[in-house]
Parts: sequence; structure tokens; C-alpha cells
Amino acid sequence: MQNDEIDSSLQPLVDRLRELPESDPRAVKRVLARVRQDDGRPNARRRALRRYFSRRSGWWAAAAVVVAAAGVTLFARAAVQSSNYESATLIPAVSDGAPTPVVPAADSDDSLSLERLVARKFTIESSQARQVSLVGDFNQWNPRQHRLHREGKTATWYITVQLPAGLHKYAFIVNDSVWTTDPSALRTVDRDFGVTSSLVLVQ
Amino acid sequence: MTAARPRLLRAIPNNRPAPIEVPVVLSRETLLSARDGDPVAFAQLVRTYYPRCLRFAQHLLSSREDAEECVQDTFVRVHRALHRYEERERFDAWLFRILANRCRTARRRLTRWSLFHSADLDRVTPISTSRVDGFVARDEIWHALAGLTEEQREAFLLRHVEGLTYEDIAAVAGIAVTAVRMRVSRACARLRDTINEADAERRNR
Repeated sequence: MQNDEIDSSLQPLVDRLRELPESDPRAVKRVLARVRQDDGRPNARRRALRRYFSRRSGWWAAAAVVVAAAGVTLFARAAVQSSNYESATLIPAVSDGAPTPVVPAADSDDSLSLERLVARKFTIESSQARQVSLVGDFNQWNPRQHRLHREGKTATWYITVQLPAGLHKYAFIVNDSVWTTDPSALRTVDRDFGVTSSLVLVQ
Repeated sequence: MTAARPRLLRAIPNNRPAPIEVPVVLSRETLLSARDGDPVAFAQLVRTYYPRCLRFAQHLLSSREDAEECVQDTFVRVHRALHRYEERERFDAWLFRILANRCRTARRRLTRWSLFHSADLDRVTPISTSRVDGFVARDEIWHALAGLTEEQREAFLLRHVEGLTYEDIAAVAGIAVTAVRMRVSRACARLRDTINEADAERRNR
């Protein structure tokens, strides 16, 4: 027998893998509806951009857009720096009595310091974890920025992060490899990124 | 002499109905009608191939939502490109080439993280025997597949689950036939190891 053939030890596994998922007629209807909506071409926005930049003069227009964007950004930064830093309101951690480390949501960013920050504690139970990171839109999904701390020798991992008010998406990454949503929070599927994240509302 | 059934999947009852063999047969006439723009024939094509596509995408992406999204995208692309399909190629190989591309794109979006949204961190560890039998078996399948690289998993599924030939898979993956054989062979070896490890672990409990 060749190594790439199925023997009796693999046969039960292959049998299970061959089982077809439950058929959902609505799913097929959804597919057909999407096919009907599709006009067979790239979407309108992309089409418009392509048409715009395909013209010879489009490159000059693109350069102008880039320069204008850079100018607006520089102007905004200057305006923020000249504003009153005293108006920043930092609220200490309130969600637990333990002396938990409170970490700002992002690296010192001038624009952020003007926002009202609220401390939020994130916890997750995992007996298998050796390391847990918190990632979210508030730290650009950077797994190195917010490492959770283990609560003694328990399976509870926690971190308190100061977040600007608003709705944030987040998730945990366990052992640098397993994407995990927060079982105690609402979840959402990110259409662009294709992953499920948890939601936290900071008020 | 029949070999003993491995312990890994012994939880599956023996009287379970036989697994559904790849049932996809779309008549040539229907396929050609769909290619010529007949919406009824295209709907028939979707109904015929949807379950297989979903099965493949689910095994690759480990998430039903992501898999459904990929399959939808695939059929939209099939609809756009069907007029370019040539009969000399096997249709399901052509279809799975598009689907595999969509799945790869979806996985790339997930960066380097494996996507096991888990309420279930246990999925990557040996499963407690206190759970019900069916769940043990299903979870162990995930565990076994998670031990393969993305390329190995894709090649293994196309060969032994979807029934494509090595030549078809080579076209899907864009690599040589010998490389496909190597991937499938390594996938089989890795799966056997996983089964044996799980078996040994259970014996030691």
C-alpha cells in the first residue's frame, strides 16, 4: 500500500469527513440571490476608481489627492498639539478591587489624550493558556501590546485597559495562535476580515 | 484479516448509515445550459454542488460562517466565468479551483492565527471522555485536521474526500503532480500519527 492511500486506520476519519453538511435550502437561495444581484463586474466604487485613474490625467489627480490628504493630516496634528491637554479625563480602574495594571489602549497619541478614557477589565478562563493577548481595534489588533496577567495560579487571565468611549471590537489570542472570542460578550462577524470578534461598549 | 478499528473513532456507532459518497452528478445538458445562461440550469448547478463546496470550505476554514461566505463568493465567480469553462476539463475540478482560491484568500486574511473561535480551547487538546460520543468523534476530527498544514489539508481533502485525481489537484494548487502526491502522503502520515497518539493517550488515562 502506498503512503498516500487510505488504509483501515484512516478510513473512519475519511468516512466522517465525507459526510455532507446538513443542506439548508435558504443557503442556496441566498447564493442565487447574490448571483442575481451581481452584475458580473467589479463593484461600482472600484469601477469608478478604475475609470478615473485610467485616464492619463488621473495620475496627476492621484498625486493631488495624496498631497491634499497629507496637508489635512499635518494641519489636524498641529491643531491637536496646540489644544489644551488639561481637558483630558482619565478615569481610574473601577471594575474590580484588585490592584490590576491599567494600560492605555494605545501608545501615547496626542489625539487620543483628548478623549475620555474609561477603564475596562477583560477576563478569560483558560487552563490551557501559557500566554494570552488582548487584540482589538483600540490597539490595531497588535498581539504584543496588551498581554493578560494570570490571577495567581488560577485559570483566570485578566487585564484592565483604558478605552475611549464607543463600541470596540476585540478578541483574545491564546498561546500566540488561537483566536478566541470572549464567551461573556456579544459577538460580531467582520465581513472584511472574515473573523468573529467580541464587542464591548464603553460609555 | 481485517485490521482492528482504531480507537480514535471507535465512538462512532457501527450501525450509522454509510457515508454519502460524492453524489454530484450534473447532467451534461444542464451544465451546458447553465453555461449558456439558463438561470434554471444554474440554480440546479448550485443546488447540486453547494453541499460539497460547503463541506470542503468548512474543513479548510473550520468555521461555518466563513465557509458559507466563501461558497457564496465562489458561485458568484462561477456565474461570471462559466461561459469560459471548457468541457475538456472536469467541471468539479474547475469549480474547486475557484473555491480553493477563495478559501486561501479567506485564510490569508486571518494572518497567522489559526481560526478556531473557540468557546473551545479544548479543541486543540485531547478531549475529555466524559463528553457524549458523537461530540468526541467530531472534535477529534478537528483535532486531526488541525495538525496538517494548510497545503496538506487542502490536498488531502481534494484527493480523499472530494475524489479529485492527482492531475486535477495539481491544476487546483498550481503545482506538479509529484508535489501533490508528496503533500497527500505527508498528510496521511500525519493523520495516522495523530490517531495513534490519541489512542495511546486514551489508553494511559
